[in-house]
Amino acid sequence: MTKKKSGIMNALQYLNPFYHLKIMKVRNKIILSFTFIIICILIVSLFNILMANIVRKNTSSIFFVELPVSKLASDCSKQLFKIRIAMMEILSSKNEFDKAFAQFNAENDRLMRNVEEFNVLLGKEDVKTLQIQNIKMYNDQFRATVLKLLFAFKDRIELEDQLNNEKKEDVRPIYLAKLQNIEILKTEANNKYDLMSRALDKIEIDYQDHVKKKINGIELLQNKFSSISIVVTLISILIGLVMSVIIFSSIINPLQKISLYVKKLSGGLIPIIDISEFNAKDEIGTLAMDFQNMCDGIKFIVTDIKESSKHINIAVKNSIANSEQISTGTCNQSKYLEETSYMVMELSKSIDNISKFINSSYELSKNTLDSAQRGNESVTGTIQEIYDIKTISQLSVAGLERLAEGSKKINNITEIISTIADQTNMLALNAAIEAARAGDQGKGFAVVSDQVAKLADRSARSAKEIEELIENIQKEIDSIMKIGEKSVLKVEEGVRSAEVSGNALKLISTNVDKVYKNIEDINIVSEQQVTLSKKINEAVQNIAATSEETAAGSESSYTQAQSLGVIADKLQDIVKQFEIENA
Amino acid sequence: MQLFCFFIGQQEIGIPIDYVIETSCLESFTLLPNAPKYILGLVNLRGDIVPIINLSKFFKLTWDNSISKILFINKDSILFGIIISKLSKPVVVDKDDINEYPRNINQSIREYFSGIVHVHGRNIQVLDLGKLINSIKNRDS
Repeated sequence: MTKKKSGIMNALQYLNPFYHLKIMKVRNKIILSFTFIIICILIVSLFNILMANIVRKNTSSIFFVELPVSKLASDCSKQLFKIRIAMMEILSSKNEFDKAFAQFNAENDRLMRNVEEFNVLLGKEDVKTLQIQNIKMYNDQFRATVLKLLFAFKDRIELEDQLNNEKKEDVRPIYLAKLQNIEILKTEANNKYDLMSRALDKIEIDYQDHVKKKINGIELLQNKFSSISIVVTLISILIGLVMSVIIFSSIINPLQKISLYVKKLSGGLIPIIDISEFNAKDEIGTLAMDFQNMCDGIKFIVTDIKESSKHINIAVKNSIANSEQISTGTCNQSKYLEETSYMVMELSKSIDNISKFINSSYELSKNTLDSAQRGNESVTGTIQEIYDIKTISQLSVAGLERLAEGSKKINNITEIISTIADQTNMLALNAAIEAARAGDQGKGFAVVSDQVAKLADRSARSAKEIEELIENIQKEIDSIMKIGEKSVLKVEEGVRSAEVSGNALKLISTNVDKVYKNIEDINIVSEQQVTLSKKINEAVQNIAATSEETAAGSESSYTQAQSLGVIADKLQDIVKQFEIENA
Repeated sequence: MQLFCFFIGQQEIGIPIDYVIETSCLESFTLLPNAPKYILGLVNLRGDIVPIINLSKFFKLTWDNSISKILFINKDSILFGIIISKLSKPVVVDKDDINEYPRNINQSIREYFSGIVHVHGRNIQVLDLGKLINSIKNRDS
């Protein structure tokens, strides 16, 4: 039930324009007021345009009807004048009546056409048609009289001829009567003409009156319209003003409420804000919300400050007690500091001893480095010498090979020698054969051949011995060559082991170098330690001095804590000024 | 008399030096077709064509093929050469020193040797050239 009711209420609220105004945002409100003003301006301008249209319609009838009519009237009067001239010509001419009459008729016809145009332009007004008919009638009569006058003229001329040429005196009375008749007709024609002209004049005058009346009507309309437009503009301005006042008041009223709350806050009273007074949806509503949050924050802060000022009071009392304790503590501290300074002195002495040891080890490491470098140099020398030995042994092996070749050559030579010995032996045998053949005379030759054979035998034997010797030598050379190859291999092994030992020595020298550098660093560090221990001593003394100062400072802090207590009391008084509004 | 001594294989053989023309090295010889096995070939000795006899084949002796020298012999104007293994020293002996060839060994060789001489520890078998030439002639015929 309640829900239904609330739904109906909501529907009613939507019908209420002020409800919409309340929930609208400020920007939209301003836009709305501007749109109101613009609508008012539009209404006024539309109204003015409407009225201007009506006036223009009225004035346009003047242009389309009255002006051509006046022109036509002037044309008619001109035409009348021309007719008159034509009539005068008829009267003045003596022979060419017909021609003059034709012109006269044409002029008259033109006038009639003009008059017909009148009829077309002013067709609706009966009075004027009557007048125009009158004019037509007068014109016909005028024409008839002129025709009569023409015939009369012709008769007169005939009569004149008869009178002047034939001397018929009996015609004279007729002629005179005719003359009289002509005069009468003349006057009659003049009269008709006057009538016609008068009728035309009357039309013109009537028409002028009509125009005047119309212009007066337009003026009246204009006056009326101007007064109406003034009224309309006034009304629209009033509506616009009222609407804008309503809208701007809906903006300004909540602002004034907020300013009242702000005044309360500036007075020291923390307000409680009724949010339901404001439209929660617009910017001022959010401002009010934020302001309320701010007030809540201030409220919390003030209560906190009150609490904490109480705590400060307690803390200040505690600090007074603490500062008394500190002053006693600093006295103890100075005693301990004297002991530490003594210990630091001892420490600096021991550091001095360390630095001496380091110096001696520094020297030792320097010597070691030198000897290691020398060992390295000698090892490199040894390696070089071993290399030399290697080349030498290789050379000796090569020499041995050459020797072997030489011995082979010698062997060949001994073979040659043995063959030579063989052949010599053969030659000796042949000689012996020859000697035998020679008998007793060849005996001496036989002895020689025997000697030669012996020589050959010996040379063969010695060649064999040489061969054996050379074989032995070759065997020896082979064994020596094997030994030489072995020695080359051994030399290579020696080179390798020498290189290993050289690398080891290099490693030793680099390590010793590192040790040397480390000792240098240690030396520097120990010097720094000496200076640092001195500085520590100074610092300890400074600490002693500062502890005395601390003692003095603790007394001053005691007095300052007391003054702080006074300040905390003051703070409490200040915070009491803030009150919290009860809901 | 003087003996010219040489070796064929292990056998030292001697011939009277009067029949020997000369010794020389075996350099080149011409092979004879359809010749007996003991004829090695032909050699040109200063214009004369000389047949060469391989005595080891003829006597069927052991031979180490170490042919090195040729011995040219002229017996009753029959010129021929024999190949020998090795030359030896010539010796001078008396005819009386030549012992008879032992009878109990090798009848086939025995008939070509006139005897055997012992000189300075050397056993020199003395070759009978006439018998050798005759047997060769007989064989050929």
